[in-house]
Amino acid sequence: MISGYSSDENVEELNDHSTTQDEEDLHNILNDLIGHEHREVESTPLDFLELNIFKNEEGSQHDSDTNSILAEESAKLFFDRYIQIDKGNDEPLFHSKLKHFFILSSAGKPVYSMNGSDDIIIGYMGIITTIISTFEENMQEDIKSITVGEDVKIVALTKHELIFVAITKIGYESMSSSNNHEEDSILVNQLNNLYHYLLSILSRPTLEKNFHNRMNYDLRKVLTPLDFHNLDSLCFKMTYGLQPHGSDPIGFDYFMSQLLGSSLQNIKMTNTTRTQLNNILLSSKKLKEDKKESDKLSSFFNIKRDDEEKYIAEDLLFSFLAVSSKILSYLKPKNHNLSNEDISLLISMIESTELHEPDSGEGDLWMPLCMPQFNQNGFLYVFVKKFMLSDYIDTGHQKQCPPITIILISGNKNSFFEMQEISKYIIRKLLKHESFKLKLYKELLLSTKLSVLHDIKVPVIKHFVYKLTKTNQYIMSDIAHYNGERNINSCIQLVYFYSMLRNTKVTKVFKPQGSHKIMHPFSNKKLTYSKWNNVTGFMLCDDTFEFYCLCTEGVDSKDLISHSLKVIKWCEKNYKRLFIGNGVSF
Amino acid sequence: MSQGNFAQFKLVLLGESAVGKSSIVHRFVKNTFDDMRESTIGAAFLTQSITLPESKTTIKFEIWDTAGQERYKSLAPMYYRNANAALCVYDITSKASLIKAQDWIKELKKQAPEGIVISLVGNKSDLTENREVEEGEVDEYIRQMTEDGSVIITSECSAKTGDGVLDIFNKIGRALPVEEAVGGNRSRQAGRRPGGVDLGRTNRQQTQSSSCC
Repeated sequence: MISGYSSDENVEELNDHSTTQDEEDLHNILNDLIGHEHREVESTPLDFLELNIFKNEEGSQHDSDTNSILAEESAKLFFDRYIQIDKGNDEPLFHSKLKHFFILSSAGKPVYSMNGSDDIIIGYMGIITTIISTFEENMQEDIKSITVGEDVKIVALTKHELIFVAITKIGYESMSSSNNHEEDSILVNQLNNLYHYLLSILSRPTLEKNFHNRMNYDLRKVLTPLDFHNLDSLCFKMTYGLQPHGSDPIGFDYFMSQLLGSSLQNIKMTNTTRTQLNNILLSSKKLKEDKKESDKLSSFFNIKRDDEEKYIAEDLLFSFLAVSSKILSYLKPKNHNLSNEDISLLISMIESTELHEPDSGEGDLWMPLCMPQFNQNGFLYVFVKKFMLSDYIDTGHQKQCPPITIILISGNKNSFFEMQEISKYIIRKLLKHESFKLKLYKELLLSTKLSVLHDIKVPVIKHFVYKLTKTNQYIMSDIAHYNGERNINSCIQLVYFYSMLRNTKVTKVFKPQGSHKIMHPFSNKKLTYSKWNNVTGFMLCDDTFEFYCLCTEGVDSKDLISHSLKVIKWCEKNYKRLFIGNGVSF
Repeated sequence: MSQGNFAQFKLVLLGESAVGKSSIVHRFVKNTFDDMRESTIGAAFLTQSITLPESKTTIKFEIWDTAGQERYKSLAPMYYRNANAALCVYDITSKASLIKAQDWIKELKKQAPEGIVISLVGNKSDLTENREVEEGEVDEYIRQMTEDGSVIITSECSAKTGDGVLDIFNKIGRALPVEEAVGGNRSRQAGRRPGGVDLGRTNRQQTQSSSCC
């Protein structure tokens, strides 16, 4: 239970439209911050090039004031030249890329490079190993980061036999944050994600053993084309919130999750439905063997069976119901938990297996996966089944909700058929009652598209993110409401604005002594504000939540505060619908 | 079961990565082909049925499509341990992949249940101009391997064009101990592993050895 959030008294107050003392305080502070600045900016659809997001690059400002077709063209040229992953032999193109990632062995053998062919990168591998080993030998210290001029930042992470390097020319990544985050934490996190990916497919002992046998070991030999694809995809979505060579910004969820500190995205769902889903998962754990069949079997094999019945789900550790990358319901043992980092790895891995076959509904997957934070020394076994709820509903119209993914994680590599049995049970339960089936279907149709206009009715806010600090889970509005389109352009802008907002210096809000009207008992509010060409960004947080939003141009500071508070109150009021909390335990 | 018979068998695909195991399965199960297919992680489990007209038997295959990558090798026994049939797949444009497929046959002969129906399949038969493996070479290998009287089914196919894919599964269907499976439903159940009951190998071998071939 979140302190004080759902008591009736508070809800009452939240619905109160009169300006509270808090709102007034915030408004005053924001006004001081803005300095009563009020600019009217021409309202045109924004192109990411016009924002000058990527400074000091030729071409970034070209043609921005000519007609829109040219602008679109130049945006595409810019994107292909500076952003898009390219593994070719073109050296000038390689150098123009704004972001690089390298993974190499400490002996200097390349494992992975985001851009460039082997011929191009091999020389740099030598330079990197030289710099790193010089630091290690002379200063007995791992090198962390190098800043070249004002524009280029190089961050390195060494993990035993592997070196991970990120080089960025992107302003929002290389600027040192003025907030409390550790320096370069975003880039270091990105490198850790790459390391965790390798751990997840190989596990720590395998990595160690291979390098122990031969320092000169070529890790690439054990990586599959899918692994390289996944590394590309990780690098790209961590940096730009996009998928390489794809136009749908499906990497944005992952980007935000990283920016918010491995926060887990949830899906909106009524509390009754979620509770029912939780109960289905919980009951699946107690599923017993079909006695008749097993009796037949044991007599056939002359197996002496214990008198007590066996639980099918004995080896089941964690279960998830998910829709795309968002978790609907989560089952775990009382004394164990999966970290958000591990869950996000798991989800990415599952997403990667279906990139080319959205209709993969028929196959059940069984894959070994190491969850680095849960246990980096061993594998868990993941059963994955896609389930199209729409197939079982006579809807008349063509609307389809995305498939539900059933994820069952077992500690036993031989338990595939048990997990398959459990998944069948879960599906039976989902379909059992007509009314529940329809309710779930209707909610899923809406759930992936949280609307600032329909759900919350805050017209000045174009996009928002709300994170619950306690459980480190977040929700955000549909990217489609930001620019009217879910495309690369909108995505890059959101990535930029939210990154900048995170980096902007915050102002702490101190409650004046003697203030008697206190909305949140442990209020420790901070806020920040940023203005770009025609977008205003605003952040407000306290001990329990973080709220970020982007608003239309020329928004009045009073509206900004009142609408933001409206969203925050809405989130607080609906928190049971919005967040899965700690899941359900057995 | 008045109209024809029904039998269920487990089948596993083995072979080097990128020879086209998943593509063969998807051609067989969904009649689709994707040039950009990603490598398999772990294994995928799919089912598909065929009907043998001469015996009016419907055979349901439970198919394990395994990952070819070396790092998943330790999992392979779990998939072939209960299998009734195995497809060892190579790529006709890669000699190395044939050697790998032969290694799998060797391993199956040693470790798999007795009576398992083994098939050596050369995929990508549409890429004739890049052919590295001649059919004569395969025949010679099979002659040596079957001197002891065992049977290995050979064929070539193209998952891309669909040529020869269904044929492989029909051939395997005919080689499987269908009568036995239909009769007592025995091998059908032996293949299953319901919860918690550990079907030891000794037990299964007994049931397998009583099958034909």
